Amino acid sequence: MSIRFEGVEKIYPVYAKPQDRLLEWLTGRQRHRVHVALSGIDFAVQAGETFGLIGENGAGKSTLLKIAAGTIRPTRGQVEREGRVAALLELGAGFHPEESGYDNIRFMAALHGLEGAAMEAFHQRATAFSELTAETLERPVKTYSSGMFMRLAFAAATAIDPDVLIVDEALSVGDLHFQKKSLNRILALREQGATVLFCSHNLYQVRSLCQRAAWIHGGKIAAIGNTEDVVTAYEAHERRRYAHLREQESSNVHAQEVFGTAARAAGTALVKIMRLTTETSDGLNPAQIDSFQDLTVEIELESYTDAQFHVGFSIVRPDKDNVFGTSTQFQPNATPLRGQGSHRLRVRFPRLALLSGEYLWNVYTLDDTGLQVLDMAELVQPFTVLNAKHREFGLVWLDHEWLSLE
Amino acid sequence: MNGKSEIRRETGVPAVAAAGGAQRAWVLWRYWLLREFKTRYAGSVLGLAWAFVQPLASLAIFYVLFGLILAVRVPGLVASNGYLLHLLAGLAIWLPFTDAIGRGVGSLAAYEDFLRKQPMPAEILPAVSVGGSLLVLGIGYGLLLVLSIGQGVGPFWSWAWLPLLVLAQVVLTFGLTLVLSMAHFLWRDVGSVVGFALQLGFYLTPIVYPLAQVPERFHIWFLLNPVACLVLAVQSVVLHMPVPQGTAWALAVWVVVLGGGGWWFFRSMKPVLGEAL
Repeated sequence: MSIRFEGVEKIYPVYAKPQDRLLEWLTGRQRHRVHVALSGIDFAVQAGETFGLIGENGAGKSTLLKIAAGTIRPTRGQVEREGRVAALLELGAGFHPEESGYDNIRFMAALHGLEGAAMEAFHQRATAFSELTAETLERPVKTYSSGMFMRLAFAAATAIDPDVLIVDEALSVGDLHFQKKSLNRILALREQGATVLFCSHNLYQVRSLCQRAAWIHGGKIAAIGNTEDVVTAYEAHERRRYAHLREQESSNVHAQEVFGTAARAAGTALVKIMRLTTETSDGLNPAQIDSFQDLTVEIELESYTDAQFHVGFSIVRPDKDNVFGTSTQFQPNATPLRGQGSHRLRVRFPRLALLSGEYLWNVYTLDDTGLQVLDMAELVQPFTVLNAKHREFGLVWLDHEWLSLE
Repeated sequence: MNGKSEIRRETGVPAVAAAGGAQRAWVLWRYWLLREFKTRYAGSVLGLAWAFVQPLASLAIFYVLFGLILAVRVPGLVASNGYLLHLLAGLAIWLPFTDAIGRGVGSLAAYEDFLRKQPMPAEILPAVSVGGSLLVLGIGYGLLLVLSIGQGVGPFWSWAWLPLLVLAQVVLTFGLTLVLSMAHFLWRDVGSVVGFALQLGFYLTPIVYPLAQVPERFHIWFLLNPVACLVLAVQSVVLHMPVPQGTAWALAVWVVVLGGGGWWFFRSMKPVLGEAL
């Protein structure tokens, strides 16, 4: 029911040429470089806990997940797993394109060593979850659309009713309905007491799903503990890195930048962010705002579904530090928006208490749970705040009183 | 460690107990084998009949060419059509052997990505290749015994050794498949070499020609060929043909060397499988 890593270290031998491995094997003389992918990994995921792994690409997260799943062995140290383990390292790995959906489900059952009644039970669960018709399941998998394939693959991967679930970014595929469904399946397994080891680049998801997290950096655990602390530490690191990159680029974002070219999430969003407009007494989209000026921000959206959704936005600094963020979900009654067509949100900031500096906007549309990001526009509509009338400095004006001066 | 769940499941379907390692491998092997057979002949008109057509066609070709046209005779085998039996004894071993090796060499490489993504005992893959050849093996041996009796050769008490010989063949083939599949995974040259080596091996094994037609001083060299040892053992046990002294010992040594060595080599290289090369 839990996973325990004890002093796990993974070292890959790297051979410059294939024959080097042969020569080394024959002569016994070392002919490889070593690449240390992981070292000093020492932690336990408790039973029933949802544990997040975050870190940059190539930091060793995937290696750690593979070791947890058992596809590779650690060079040193030990991994202890208790309970049935389902690994979602890649959906549909091992599916045979010529075989029917049914037969592929049975194959996954056989992979877990199930036969007879246990295989039938597995089969029933997978079929029910996949939402594919009997007719579809009898067709060879090669005729499936990618969405259908993913549904079947996820269904077959989790039908073991695992005690331990290892998930590697598997949620970032498939259509939105499927993503939600698979997320719900993971949540349901968690409710049942399953242990989840979860690796994602979506920090929002990690924050909302995981009780604890570890930040893997350069093959080592850079931080471990309470999710919020770890994610915050990671974000701070990312910001420093980003600031560094930005200095090199010395980019200047054009004031009239249109939303959504580079910043938009891949794929067609179901609730698209169309435009963000700011307004002050000086007019629309002012490039410069005075401290304590009234500011109204208007966000235009286009929804292509009847489903409910939420909208969040924040004012950020160029280094991605959030200055202030809010969401329709945080309103007192938390009413989501719904309905196809255009939507328009207006939010007024009376006497905007920003002091001098460069600022931008981040906008997100989220599904009704607030977990799944539907569309995003980050670092758009830059504006400068000038604090001409006051001598106080910093990011924002904090209310204060001088109590005594002696 | 292999957990029986203590938590009550809310779902309607009863929780399935996870199977232990060996049992899991056994279930998986059988299922994979079944899938292998189904997909191998999927989309063909004759279907499973091909499993019979292929060995019979090879048998017919060699029989017409060597038995009728070149009229090879087998000294020491008293039967009206001794060459056919001799040929069959050879092919009953050679066909499943090449079948297993031919499929087995690429088995790990073909599932490279899968092995990285799905925890499973990798030995299953070469084992499935060997398992897939058992059908041809059964057909070959069955035909050999039936035709032998039909021609008045046997049945002999010595046929009781056959199960042991089949076991020896399976162990030997599996060991070699383990080595070759892993070697091919590491060095892709192996696949090309194996194709050529099998062709050479066919002519270095007394299948289409009887060993008696080879000059006596070369006979001992045939014991360096594990498949030749097997063929000779079957010729001796089933057809009561004379074979070089020490054939049985040579076979036993080959089974231990290839079976044990193959297992050892596979085990020592296995960690490489999940890693990106």
